[in-house]
Amino acid sequence: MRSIREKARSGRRGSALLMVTGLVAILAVMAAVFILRTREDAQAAQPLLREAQARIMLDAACMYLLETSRIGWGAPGHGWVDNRNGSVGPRPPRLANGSIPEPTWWRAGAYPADDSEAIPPSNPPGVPWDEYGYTQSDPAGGNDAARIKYWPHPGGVCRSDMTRWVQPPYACTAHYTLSPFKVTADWTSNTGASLSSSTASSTSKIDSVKLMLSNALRQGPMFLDPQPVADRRGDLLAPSAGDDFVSGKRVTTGVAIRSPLSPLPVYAPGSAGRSWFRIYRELPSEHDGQNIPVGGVVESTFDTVAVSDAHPTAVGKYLRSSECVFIITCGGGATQGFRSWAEVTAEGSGQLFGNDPSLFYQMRSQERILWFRVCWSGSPGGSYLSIQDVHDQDSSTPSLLNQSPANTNWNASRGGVNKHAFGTFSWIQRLAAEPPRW
Amino acid sequence: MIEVTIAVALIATILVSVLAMARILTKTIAVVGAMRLDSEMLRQGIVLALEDADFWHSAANPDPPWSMRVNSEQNVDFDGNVSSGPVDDAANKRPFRRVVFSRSADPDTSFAGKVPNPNAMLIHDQRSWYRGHLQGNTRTFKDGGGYFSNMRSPDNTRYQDQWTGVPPTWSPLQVYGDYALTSHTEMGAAADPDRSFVSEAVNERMSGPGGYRPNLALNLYRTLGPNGIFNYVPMSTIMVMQRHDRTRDLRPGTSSGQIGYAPDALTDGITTHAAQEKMYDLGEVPWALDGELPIGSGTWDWPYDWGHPNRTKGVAHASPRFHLNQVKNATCYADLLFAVSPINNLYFIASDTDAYCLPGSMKDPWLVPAGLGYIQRNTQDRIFFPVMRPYKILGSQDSVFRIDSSYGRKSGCDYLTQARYGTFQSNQGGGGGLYGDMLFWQYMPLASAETRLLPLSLTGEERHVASAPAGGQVASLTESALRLVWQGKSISFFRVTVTRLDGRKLTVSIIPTCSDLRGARQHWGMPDVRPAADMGDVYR
Repeated sequence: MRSIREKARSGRRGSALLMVTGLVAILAVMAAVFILRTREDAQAAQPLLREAQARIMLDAACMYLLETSRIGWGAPGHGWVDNRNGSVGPRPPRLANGSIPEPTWWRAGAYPADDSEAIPPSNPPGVPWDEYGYTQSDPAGGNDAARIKYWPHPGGVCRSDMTRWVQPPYACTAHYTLSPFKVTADWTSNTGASLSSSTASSTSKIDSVKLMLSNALRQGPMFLDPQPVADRRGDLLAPSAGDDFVSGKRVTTGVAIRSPLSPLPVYAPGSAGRSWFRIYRELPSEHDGQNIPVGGVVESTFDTVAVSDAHPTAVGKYLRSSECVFIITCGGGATQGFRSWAEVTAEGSGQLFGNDPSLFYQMRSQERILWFRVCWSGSPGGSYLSIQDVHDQDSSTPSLLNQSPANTNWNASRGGVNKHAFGTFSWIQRLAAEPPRW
Repeated sequence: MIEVTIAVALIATILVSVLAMARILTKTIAVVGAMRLDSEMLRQGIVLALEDADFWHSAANPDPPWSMRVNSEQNVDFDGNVSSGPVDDAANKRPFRRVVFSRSADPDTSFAGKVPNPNAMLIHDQRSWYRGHLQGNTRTFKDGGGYFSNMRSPDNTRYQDQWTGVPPTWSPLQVYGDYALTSHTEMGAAADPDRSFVSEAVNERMSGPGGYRPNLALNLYRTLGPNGIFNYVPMSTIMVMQRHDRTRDLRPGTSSGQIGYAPDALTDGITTHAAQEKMYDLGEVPWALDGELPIGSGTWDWPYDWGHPNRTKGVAHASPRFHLNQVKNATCYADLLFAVSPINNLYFIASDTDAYCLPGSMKDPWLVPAGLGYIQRNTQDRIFFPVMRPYKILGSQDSVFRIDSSYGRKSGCDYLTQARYGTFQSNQGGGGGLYGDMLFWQYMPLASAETRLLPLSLTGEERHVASAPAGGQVASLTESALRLVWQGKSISFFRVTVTRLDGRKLTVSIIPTCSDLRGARQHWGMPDVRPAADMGDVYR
């Protein structure tokens, strides 16, 4: 039997335990609240992160459109709308006989003949007739899941998953080195003398350096030379390794490069499932400024801008093709740019989502998707800025040079800065609602 | 007793500790809550700013808190009437006013009640190619500012290097520019070759295909102002819009010739069809000349004063008349000449009344007649989207965003609203890139549209009072939008600011790729976006 003192001591022990327990509980609750709120904040920031990821895709998609207007189809192309006769492009350079080859990517029936219009007698012999006529046809036949097979045909779609390569092919560093340049008569003995002189003023030496730079820029094309990441150049057919300049870093090394994804590239950890973009190339009836279906193609409400040049009498026929309007879909999420499960299965990519459509649509529900409509133009845009101006503005500083494309063939009488060899965009419009095709 | 004392002390200590802990925890919770509110407001602000970037709410949306109907309506004078001033009346230019474009891409239309389709002459359209002798000067001016040269002093050492290769009288049109990509012979002639210009006086339209560009430019200018033109002409366009100063005589031989452009010189030596002078490949860009090219020729034989192209040169003199308005004699000088020739750079010569909306100046006033302002667009200048300041601007003070003091003070402006167009020339403050100088940062707020998003002002009254929270009682969220064109690129600069109760501010800046002005105008012109709004682009 315990004594009264023992009981009291036991009571005190109980009180202390209660208080400690209470304090610990309070701390635990507070910690839980903190963690919960931190978790909530992180979760609340997710939509914004996805918004940012999706918005970055607008840049990526625009760059893709610009580049593929000229390159990526074998021979150099002449723009999404051929700048020689207004036909659907990109098309290769003229052949020796002056004709323009059909595009290699065309796979929806016969490519429209260049001289599809009746050539008037007044047209001089030997002068190409430029009244190009294009009768619209939906290559996918209204099947949205099949559009991805017809890029870059009007009515076709491309899908770009933006998982990042550790080292893509032809990767260059952001460092540039000076190429050797020819010393010409502009280089005077005084220049060198000034630099080597111990008595020349610093101003004089600076002027001499400016003169050197000016001469270099005038006389030395390829003045700034970007440097490759890889040490070895490599070869497409017989790459010496899987991480050379030509092949980029691949999972399987030393194997011939058969396609951009074969052998598989090494992807950067953590870059998968973040963002993607899709591009749909509109049919001409979708940008004729009239919300009237043509050839079974359902029109969208935003067809209020007349870009295409409709034939005056033939319905569905367009002159001087204007197939330069694209729907860009920007995605921040993990569906890799597939529009629907039907498209996933049609592409045989169900394993990417565990062959589970519910998983795909759950991912879709968590994505941020933005739709833009852009109009490409073959105009090089930009402005003319000769190196002369750079020099005379006393702005021949790295800051200004860095704004200009490196390795441009600069010289005093010819050259350009901020010109875009791949064209420009006449307008970029955000769509407030989902378009019928994307 | 000692135990009791110790126990009391312990309990007191524990209680004090508990209270202190509770107080600290409470404060911590409050701080965390405030930080969460800050983060939440910043997140919302960023999302709203990005929406603004795409839909241009702060420039177009008539609803609060944006309340920018002023940007789509004509000006109302003090007397309550819509201003009926001339087309160069700055107050009648609004960047979101409705423009009804022709749906047809055929330039040979009457344009009845419509503005020519701006998409018809994209650069890939051969009809938009120009093969005249107004191609850009391959030898640019030494002066990076692109100033007009003094044609009367070709020996001026400042420009001597450039004068060797170009006909003197054409030089102002050849400032900068690569070879021309523009204008096709199929553009054809105007119906009346002796009167192929656009007159502001009677608002007439130039007939025939040759009127495509002048009509487009004039109508965009009179509704949207110069900012609108910048956004609608194809890139690489050189646009010479010359407004005749009524007080001067532009005929050859007069002192006004120093403006540098004599339309008479454009009336001969033209090619109307490729078949006439097949000196170029109809289908190729750049063109292939097998004749002597005047540019760079050391044996230039043009007469010094207002000569004509020499047909024997074998150069495809393809019809500047179809793309630059020209007149035969002084009687044909209308009030306004619009000549748009797609080359590469843009100059704007405006009358004195345009000074309200055309800041910037000639660096050396002696180069042009007094009273002419101009917008200069070279590689470094920044052209700002006009920011409206409703009910704030009376009189000339602060009516124009000016940086260059040499521009001079203009007479009063008595409109209730005033567009604040602005250019920021690279030679002001040393240049050095888009954000590379102090003056740019100093003047940037003048060209920024500020909107208080929270707390919401239903009247829009406090739209531009974004510097402090309303009444100092609640936290506020404001957004600042700066839109400009620089080096041919549309740039949008947004700043989201959360002003906390204690007055401290949190700011996030964003420069997103987003819709441009044309995209935004197309959005606001769609019938299902805002059916009752008479704004934006419509094609009929």
